[in-house]
Amino acid sequence: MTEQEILAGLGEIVEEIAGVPAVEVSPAKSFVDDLDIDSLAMVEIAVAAQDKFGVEIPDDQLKDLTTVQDVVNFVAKNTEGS
Amino acid sequence: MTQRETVVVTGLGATTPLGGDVASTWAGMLAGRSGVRRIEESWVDDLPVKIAAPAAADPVEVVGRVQARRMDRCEQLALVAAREAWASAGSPALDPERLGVAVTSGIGGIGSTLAAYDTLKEKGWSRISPFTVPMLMPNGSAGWISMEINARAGAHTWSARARPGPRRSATRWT
Repeated sequence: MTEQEILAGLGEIVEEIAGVPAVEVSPAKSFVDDLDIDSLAMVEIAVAAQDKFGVEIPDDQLKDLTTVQDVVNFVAKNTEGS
Repeated sequence: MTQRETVVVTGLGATTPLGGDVASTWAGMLAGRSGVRRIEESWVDDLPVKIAAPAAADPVEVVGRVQARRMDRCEQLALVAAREAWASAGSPALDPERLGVAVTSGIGGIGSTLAAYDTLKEKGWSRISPFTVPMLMPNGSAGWISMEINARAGAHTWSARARPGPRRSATRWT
């Protein structure tokens, strides 16, 4: 899965859960500061991302995924070779 | 001796099997219409009863898709009716500390309860939505409505078995 595909999939998730247009979900954006996503919605996004990309995001690592690029990197790293 | 108290109704709101608001519901009643219909969805295939009276209007259309994701259907319906009632009363500007909400529910978000149990069995605890509890709790509707109209004096629910409303064995949720 390419980073672009992950970004597109993440954009769909964010739009579905938080109502933020997928086109605004760009790599440098912070979920909290730029996309106005609260912590509970962030947990929902993480749950949806785990289902969509087939990865496990441990609770203690979720707090470190603050930007869109962070999530893209995490998914890319944990789906390598799949 | 029974103590009698005066209650003043200042606004009406409804979303029912006859219509998505008071006017359409009232018009349907006057026309003698029934909200009961045959259910065609597959989930009734194994049930002996194939009729029901579902809400005429989809509350998601009114509440909005994003907010509706965080609400059980019973909460969505309650909020739709409460919004209409509040608007009908003129959306008065009141002291939030003197404004309270009392909304009953027979059981709360049963759909969310069952869905969460399915998720738990099929996908495990880590896939349970963080909104599961506020979606299933019987006082969820009162909570949503109190946030909507900024009522800070209290959000109360009385629930007694399958009959909403104050009863001798009622449980009060706050």
